[in-house]
Amino acid sequence: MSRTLHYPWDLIVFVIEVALFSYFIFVNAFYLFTAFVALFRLPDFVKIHRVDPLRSTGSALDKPISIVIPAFNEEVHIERTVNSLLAIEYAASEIVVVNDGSTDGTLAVLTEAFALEPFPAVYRVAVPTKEIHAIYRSATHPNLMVVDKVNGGKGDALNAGVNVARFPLIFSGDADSFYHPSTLIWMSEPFEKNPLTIAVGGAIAVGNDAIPETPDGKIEPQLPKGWLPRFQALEYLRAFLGSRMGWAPINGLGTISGACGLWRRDIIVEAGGYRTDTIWEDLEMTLRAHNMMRKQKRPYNIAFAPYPVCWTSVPSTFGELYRQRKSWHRHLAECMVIHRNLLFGGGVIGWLTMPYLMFAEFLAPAAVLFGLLFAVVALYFHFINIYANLLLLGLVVVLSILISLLSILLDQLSYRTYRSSLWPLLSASVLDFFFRQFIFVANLSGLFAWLFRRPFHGRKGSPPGINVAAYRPEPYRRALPAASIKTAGR
Amino acid sequence: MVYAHAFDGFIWAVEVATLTLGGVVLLLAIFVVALRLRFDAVARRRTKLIEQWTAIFRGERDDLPALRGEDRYTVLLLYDRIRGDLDSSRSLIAREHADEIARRAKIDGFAAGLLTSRDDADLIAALSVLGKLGDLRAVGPAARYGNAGGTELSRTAAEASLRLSPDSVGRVIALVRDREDWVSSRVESMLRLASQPVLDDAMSEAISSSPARGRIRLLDFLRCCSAPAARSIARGLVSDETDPEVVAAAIRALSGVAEPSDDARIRPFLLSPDPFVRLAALRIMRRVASPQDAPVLGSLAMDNDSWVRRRAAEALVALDERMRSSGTEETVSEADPFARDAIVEARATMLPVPIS
Repeated sequence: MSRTLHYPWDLIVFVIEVALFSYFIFVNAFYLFTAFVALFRLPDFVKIHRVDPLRSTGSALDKPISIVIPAFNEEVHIERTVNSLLAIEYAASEIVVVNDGSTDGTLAVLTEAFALEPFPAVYRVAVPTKEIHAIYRSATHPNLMVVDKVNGGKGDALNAGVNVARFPLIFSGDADSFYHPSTLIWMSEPFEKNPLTIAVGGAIAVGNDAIPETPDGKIEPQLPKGWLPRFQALEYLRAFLGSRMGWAPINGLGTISGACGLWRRDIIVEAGGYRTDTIWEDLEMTLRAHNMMRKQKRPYNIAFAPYPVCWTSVPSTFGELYRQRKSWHRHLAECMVIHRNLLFGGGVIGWLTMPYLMFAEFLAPAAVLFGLLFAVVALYFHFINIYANLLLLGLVVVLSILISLLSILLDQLSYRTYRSSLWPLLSASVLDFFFRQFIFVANLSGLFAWLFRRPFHGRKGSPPGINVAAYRPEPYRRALPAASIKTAGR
Repeated sequence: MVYAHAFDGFIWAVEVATLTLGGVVLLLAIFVVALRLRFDAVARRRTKLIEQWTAIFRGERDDLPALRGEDRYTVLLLYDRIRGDLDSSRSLIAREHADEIARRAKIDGFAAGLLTSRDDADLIAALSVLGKLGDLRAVGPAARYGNAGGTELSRTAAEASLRLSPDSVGRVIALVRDREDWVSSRVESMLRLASQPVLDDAMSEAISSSPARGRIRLLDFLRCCSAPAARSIARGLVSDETDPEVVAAAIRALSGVAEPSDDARIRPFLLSPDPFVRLAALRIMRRVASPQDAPVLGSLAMDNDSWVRRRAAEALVALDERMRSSGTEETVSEADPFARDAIVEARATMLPVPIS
């Protein structure tokens, strides 16, 4: 197995091998670190809340929350989503659905299902948005409002919702997701316990298949039937329980998901609202909040509520998944450039989260591509040992399975998100390595699309998560006009 | 040659790491499966147990089956939940029946045993149950953990103290003031357990002796006191306090229990330079404003603060409703169309929406 090494080429090869191996160790060390932090924190958290459950008391002292749901061409899901939001048990909440210039029957479905009537709402323009045509209120559910506006993308729709919202906390959700009745009780808890909390992220699970309810009203979600959604179910467990649950206790949470996030409204407004010139808005908003608070030297906390409160629909075909991940990676790239000053800028966010996002996420496709090219060239010139490479590949696969299994273990020790058999999830964790190669290709494509600034177009009927308006990169801007007051349609 | 040795060493290390991690993965997979099977079995058993004991605690069944050791924790938590639900009901008989069953099933002894645990979850369960059962063995630990434990443990200990010793109200209120991590709605439920005359006195004393921040925190819970006591405390602060945040909190507290005579006391605050005070005053004026307040309310409908404008518009519409008039638009300037819109919105918000 030993080989004879000759100066200088073999030394160069050796250095590259060590660099690639070190990178691999660096990335997996992050995954294992967060998974182990979660493993120490989560069971205690669950045990405490089992003996002291958070329940709705109907108290007027609960912090009022505005639920903002941007919707673009969501006629299929919107009624179910709004019904699940109306079933949320919380004393003071209002629902603001923002119809972002849908070209399908989203507004008609809402009007029909919830008896919408024109409502002369007066709202404060704290962040600029595209024009609002009209605001409606439900005759059957007075706490439901629908804002009908010109299409401006998800960020713009959220900004319109923030303007119309009346309450100090804003819950941002997705129009194609389904929410647990206790969502707001569970997610508002960190705001009560720690006054420094500016945002709370919730855990998301895959709800592609039916979410049957038991006779006593309990939701018992089943694992999706298709392999692709199943891989994503595992991936979500890794992301939320294995990763975010590990980042949150050290105040290093980099993303509050757009499908399930609770924010202080004043922080969103102070930060200038959601950006409309990036493909997505959630990662950028979270990093901007970190950036703003650090610049102003204000203490803050961004928390995570590990309860699986949101079930979302994930892409079920390779094409949809490819487009979704491509856009996600492109957004990550945008955010890394916008918030590059955070990297090594101090604190957990600067020394851990940003290096993780930059090197283990953003640059990962480039590193993997370099590794693959190096392997091909080195094999061609017989610089490297095939056995050694296969061995390293084996190590990568084993580590990938280990991290997936740790996430499944975390889920079993906490909420057991999916009530169906464990075997599909276990087999997915073994095959997950191959799924991740596909994601690598999509991410790489997103990286190139960002590098070459290719226009991005959402398309009608595209999968959840990429229904965005036609996107063309613009120069990054941030200008906030003075707040004014407007009436809908004025 | 040194590279060759390094390479061999590296390969050996990777081989060992891969094999070791492979073994760990296999063991972990077996562990996860075993855990799931066990959890499934426990869940099935727990479902049956909960069904059976819920019926027993609710008096729907007369028998009292023997409780196995491993089931005691589940039944203890079930009792805690059912008894917590019964707290808000007026059925003393149902509460006493549940307590009697818990004692006969020796839940109290089991809970007392948990008081020596170092696990916060066990302590919370034990203190909560013993507090509900009125078991004096929890008095000492409840006092000890009231200000020492984490958020949930300290609040549960304070609640147990309230249930077990009425003279602890003053101490608990001081904790409520200082422990800002306690969830307000839970504190409200907890304070409603206290005897009202004792709570009234303790709250009055705590508010008078607290700094501004503590007063603001405690004023939120004035709603748990009797209406006369709450009125008296809030009126006192409205008259004497100088800190605008405390004044605003006092006016808010007074709004829930205000009497018509309070309008004269509150009216001057409509002109306060502090928007929070104006806003708080408008809460009361919405209920008690008279036609002579209309000009002031009209000017507040054009205030710089958007929330003051909104509340002033609501107060004007409410005044119209009470007086069966419709002249509110006249009180705001033609030059401020947004104030007029705010009135239109307030009217649409406050009146029932026609269902077409």
